[in-house]
Formats: sequence, C-alpha cells, structure tokens
Amino acid sequence: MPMTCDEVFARLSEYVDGELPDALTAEVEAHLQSCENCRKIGDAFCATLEVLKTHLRAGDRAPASLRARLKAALG
Amino acid sequence: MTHSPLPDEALLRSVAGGDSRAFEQLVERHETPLYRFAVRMCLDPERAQDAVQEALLSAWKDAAAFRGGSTVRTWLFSILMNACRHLRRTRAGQPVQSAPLDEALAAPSLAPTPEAQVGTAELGHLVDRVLSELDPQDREVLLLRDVEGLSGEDVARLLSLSLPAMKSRLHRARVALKTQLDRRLAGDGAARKVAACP
Repeated sequence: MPMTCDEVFARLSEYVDGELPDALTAEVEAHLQSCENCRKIGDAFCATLEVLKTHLRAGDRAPASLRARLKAALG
Repeated sequence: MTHSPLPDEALLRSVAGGDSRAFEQLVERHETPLYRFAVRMCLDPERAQDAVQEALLSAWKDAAAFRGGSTVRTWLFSILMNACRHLRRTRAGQPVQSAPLDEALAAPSLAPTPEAQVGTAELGHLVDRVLSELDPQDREVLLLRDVEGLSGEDVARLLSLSLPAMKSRLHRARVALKTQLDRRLAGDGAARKVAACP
C-alpha cells in the first residue's frame, strides 16, 4: 500500500539523513514524485536544515579570553 | 601554536600524564565547537565561557578516567552538556519560552524555502534567534546532530536515549525549528527588523 502524506512526513528526517532501508526510501521517493505538496514540504525541510548547518557552523569562534581563563585556573 | 598530528586519544593520554602542552593542543582543537554549542545552550556568552572552562578543567583533571567507550570529542561534549544544564538550572530570570509540542508536530508547513524570503545574513540571525527560543531538549539534539555533526549513535548515547528515540526527538526538533522559522518569516515587518538588528 502506498505511503500516506503523514507517513512520509514522519519519516522525512530519516530520509533526508539517508537512514531509511532501501525499500522504504523507494516508497518515500515514489510518494514525493507523485505528491507536489509533500515535495514542496520536503524541499523546504531540507533548505531549513541546510541553513541551520551553514549559518551556525560559520560563526562563534571561542574568545581569546577563554584560554586566558583556563591558564589562570591551571596556575 | 603548532598543530599536533596526534589523534585526540593520544593527546588525552599525555594529558592524563600531566602534559600541559598536550592539553593546550586539545583545547585548541575543540574549544570552538564546544563554545559554539555552549553559547547556544546557555544563551549567554559569559555563561558559555564558564561552562566550557568547567568542562575543559574537568577534562584536565579526569583525563585518566577516559576509557575509550566513545570518541574524545563525544566525551568532551558529555562533560560540557552537564555543565550547561547545571548553569541553566542555576540561571536567574525567566526560562526560555518554547512553542507547544503539539503545535510543532501539527500539519506540515507549506512555507516556501526560507532563503528565498530573506537575505543570507538576516536569515542566519533569524535561525539563531528561533533556535534560542526552542525547548532546551530540542536545541541540544539539533546542535549535536545537525550543527556539530556527531553521529546518531553518539548523540543517542549523550542524551541517554535509544537510537530510535533520538531520531524521534531530532525529527520533532527539526519540525519545531522549521515551524517557528516559518512563523517568523510570515510575521510582520517589525519583527523581522528586530531580528535583523546586529
């Protein structure tokens, strides 16, 4: 029986992460090919994850004061 | 500082023997991802430094206790997570408000791709802001898995969850992030201007 939209949505993270068994991956992909709504949701979901990874990995180097604090604490 | 070719485990063995240079090299290697995690869990740069300092000092003191059941990186994150949770519990002021879980898991969002709606820099600020408003459990799993790229098994171990339970929490957190981000993007111009202010 083909997957429903809710079932595909529930598996979306595992699908995006490449963690579904092959048979299930094929079922999700078949659904995405036939359901424009789910395809848009899937694309938007992936885009959000990409933004999360790209923007949050880029910033926030540890401040120089952290090493100074460690040095002071270790004596 | 010269970058050491030694793997983390070898550096940590040296640290266990009191080698402060090995410790400096370990700090240099890991301080940025640790700080990056802490600043988003503690929501305060000073507290984040407190947490990272506490975690690294624990690593210095307890290096001999590392048994190799995980990577050194995962071990450091486990110490840091406890430090962040401790600081969060003792933090004065209002707790972070998060979206109700049933809203986050409701009908999937139909919003177009977020980048199409705002500029790149503004979007980065917005993602950060939305992330800071998520439930700490959601933030933790997103930061560990999606930002720091720890394996699913390591994240499950750090969160004391089974792998399926971790995956379920991760999916919930991603949906919550997406839902809140879409809500912000669909919000009024004033909200977006505030989000864009440096």
